[in-house]
Amino acid sequence: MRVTELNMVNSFLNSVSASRAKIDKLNLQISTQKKINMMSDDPTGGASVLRLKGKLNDNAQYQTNITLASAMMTTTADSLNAASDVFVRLKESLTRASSASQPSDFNSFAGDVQQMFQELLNITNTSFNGKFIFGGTQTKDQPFTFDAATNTVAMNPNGTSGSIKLDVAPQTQEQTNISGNEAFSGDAALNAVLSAYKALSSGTQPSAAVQQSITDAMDRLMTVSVKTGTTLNRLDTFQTQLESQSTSLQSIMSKVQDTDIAQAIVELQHQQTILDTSLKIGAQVIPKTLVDFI
Amino acid sequence: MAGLSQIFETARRSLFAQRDAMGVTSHNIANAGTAGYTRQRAELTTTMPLPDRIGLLGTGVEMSSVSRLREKFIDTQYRTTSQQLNNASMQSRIFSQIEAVVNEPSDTGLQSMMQGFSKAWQSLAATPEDMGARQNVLQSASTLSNGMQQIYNGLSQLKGDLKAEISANVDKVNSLAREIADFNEKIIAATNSKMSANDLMDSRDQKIDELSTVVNIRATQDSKGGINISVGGVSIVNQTDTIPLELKDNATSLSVQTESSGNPTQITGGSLGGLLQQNNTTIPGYQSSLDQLGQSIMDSVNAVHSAGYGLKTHASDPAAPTGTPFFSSYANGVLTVNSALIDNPNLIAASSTGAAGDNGQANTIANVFDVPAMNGGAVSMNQFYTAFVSRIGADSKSASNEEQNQQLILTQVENQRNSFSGVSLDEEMANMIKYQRAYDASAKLVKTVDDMMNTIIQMV
Repeated sequence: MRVTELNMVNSFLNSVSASRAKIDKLNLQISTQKKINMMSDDPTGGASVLRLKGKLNDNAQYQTNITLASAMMTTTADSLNAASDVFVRLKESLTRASSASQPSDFNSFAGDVQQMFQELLNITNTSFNGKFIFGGTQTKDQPFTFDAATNTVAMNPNGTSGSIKLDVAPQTQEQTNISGNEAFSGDAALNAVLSAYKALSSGTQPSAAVQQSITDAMDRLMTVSVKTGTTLNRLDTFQTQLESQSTSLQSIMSKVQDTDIAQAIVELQHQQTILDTSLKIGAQVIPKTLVDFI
Repeated sequence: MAGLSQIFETARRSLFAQRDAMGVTSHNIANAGTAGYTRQRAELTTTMPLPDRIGLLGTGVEMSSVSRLREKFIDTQYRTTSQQLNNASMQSRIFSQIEAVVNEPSDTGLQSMMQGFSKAWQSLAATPEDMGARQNVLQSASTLSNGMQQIYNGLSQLKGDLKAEISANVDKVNSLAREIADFNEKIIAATNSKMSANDLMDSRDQKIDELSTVVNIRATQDSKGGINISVGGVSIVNQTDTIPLELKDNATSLSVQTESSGNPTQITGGSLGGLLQQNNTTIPGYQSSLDQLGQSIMDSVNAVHSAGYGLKTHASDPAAPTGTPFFSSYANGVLTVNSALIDNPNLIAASSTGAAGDNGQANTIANVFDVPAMNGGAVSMNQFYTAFVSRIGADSKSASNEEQNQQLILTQVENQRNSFSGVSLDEEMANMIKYQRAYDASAKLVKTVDDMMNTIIQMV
C-alpha cells in the first residue's frame, strides 16, 4: 500500500483523539462518581435507576407514614390506658358503694363518680395534631359533649366511626386510629357512667343493667388496648423491614449507577499511557521524509 | 541516421520535458498539505519517431499531459459514507440536546416531580383536615405541571432551532450547487480548449464532498466533463444550470422541494436528512408520548378526585362538595389545575365519605401513578415514563453508535483516498532527483553536441 504523509497524519490524529475521548469520558465518570450521567450512557441501567429511585422514594414515604401512624397509635394507647385506669377506680368505688345502705352514703360516692365522668369525657375528646382521635373519620368535630339541658352525653350527630388508614408498605395499609365507636361503643360507656352518677346522687344503688354496661365498657377497653398494642408492634416490624429494604435498594442502585472508582482510575491510567505512546510515536515518525537524507 | 541538429533538438526537448516534470513535482510538493488536492503526474512520452533508412528513429521525449490520480469509486464511497455519518452525527447531537431537556436520571427530572405529587397526597392523607397539606398538594401539582411544560416546551424550542438550521442547510445546498455549476462551466470550457483542468476538478470534488455532508446526493459525470448532481431523486445541478431548492412548511412537518416547480425531494441523508428526521418524526413522537402521559395523569386523577368529597369547614356547612375535577385541562404539555381548587383548597377531595378525617381518595391519588392505566391498562404511568426516558436513551445511543461506525468507515475510505491521491514527499523527492539527473544529462548532451558541431565547423 502506498502510504502518504496525509495517511500518517490522519491516523495519528485519529488515535490521539480516540484516546482523548476515552479519557474525557472516564474523567466525567470519576468527577461525577456516576457511570450513568445520561440515559444514553446505559438505557437499561438508566431505567433501573429510575425504578429504584421510585422504590426508594416510596420507601421513605412509607417510613414517614409509619412514624405518623405510630405517634397516633401511641397517643391512642395512652388515652385508652388512662380510660382503663378511670374504669378500674370507678369499679372500686361502685363495689364500695354497693355495701352502703343509707342514701346519704351513696351521695358521698357521687362526687367521686362525677369526677371520674369528667376525666373520661376529657379522655374521649383527646385531640392530637388537631384531630379528635376518637372521632373516627369525623376528626374535626368534638365527638362527645355533655348536654346540661337533657343531662345526657350527646354524640357528634355524624357519628364517631370510620377508620383512617395510611400506606405503610406496597399495597398495604394500616389503621392509624381507634374510633369512638370501637373504644367506647359511641356514647354508651359515658352514658353508663353518667347513669351511675345519677343513681348515686339520687341516693340509690346503680341498677344491675348499668353495672353490666360498665363491666362491658371495661372489657371493651381491654380488647381495644390489645389491638392497639399489636398494631404498634406491626408498625415496628414494618419499619424495620423498610429500613433494611432501603439499605439493600441503595446498594443495588449504587451498583447500577456509581462509578467503580478504582477500576476507572486504572482505566484512566491505561488510556493515558496509550495517549503518551501515540504522541511519542507520532512525534518520531511524522517529521521524517527523504528530504532529511538528501 | 540522425543529424547533429536533430540530436541537438532531442536534447533540447529533453531539457524542456524534465523542466516541466520538475514543475509538476514542485506543484505536488507545494500542495502536499492542501485540502482536497489530488497528486498529479507528469506523463512523459516519447515523441513521434522519424523514418530513417534503418527504421524509425527516436526523437526524444515530451510531457504529453499532466494526469490527476483520482479514483472515482473511492469518491462515490466517500460521499455515501459521509452523508450517513453526517446524518447520524447530527441526530446524535440533537439527541444529546433532547436528553438534556429530559434531564434524567436526576433529582430534578419529571420523575421526581411525579413523586413529589404523590408525596403531597400522602401527606394530605395523613392530615386531611390540614390547610397546609392542601396548599402543599396544589403546590406540588403546579410543580408537576411546570416540569411537564418544561420538557414539552424544551422540545418545541428545539424544533424551532432545527427549523432555522434546516433553512440554513437548504441555503447551503443551493450555494454549493451554484459553485459546482460554476466549476462545471470552467472545466467544460478548459476541456473544450484541450487545457488541463486538474486543479479546478479538485475544487469541484471538494464542493461535492461538502455537499455530501449536507444531503444524500448522486453525482454523475457527463461526456463533456461536467458533473450533474441530483438530491433525493431531483436534479439540482445540470451542467452549468442549477435548480434551487426551498423549504416548505407543512404545519406539522417540513419538507424540501424545488423552488420553480414544487418538485418534492426525498432527503434521507446528510445533516439535512438528520435534521428533517428529528424535526418531522423523532421530536413529535416524544411530544406525543408526553401528551399521552399528561392526558392520563389528568384523567386518572380527575376520576378519583371527582368521586371524592371536599372538606366541610364547619359542622353547620352544607354537605361536603363533590364532583370537582382536579385538573381542568391538558394541552401541549400544560396541565392546568382547576382554578376553583386554588381559590378554595377545601374543595380538594381527600375524603371518600365526606367525613373530614377520611383519606380514602387521597390515598388512592397518592398511588395513582402505579395503577396500570395506560396503553389499554397494560402499564402504569410510572412505567410509561421510565420506558419513555429509556427509549430516548436507547435512540440516542444507537445514533451515537451509528456515528462511530460511520466514522470508522469514513476513516478507512479517507485512508484509501489519501493512499491513492495524496502526495508522498518521499516519492516527490525521488522524482525530483530523477528529473534533476535527467536535466543535468540533457544539458551535458547539448554541450557535447555543441562541441561536435564546433569540431565540424573547425574542419572547414
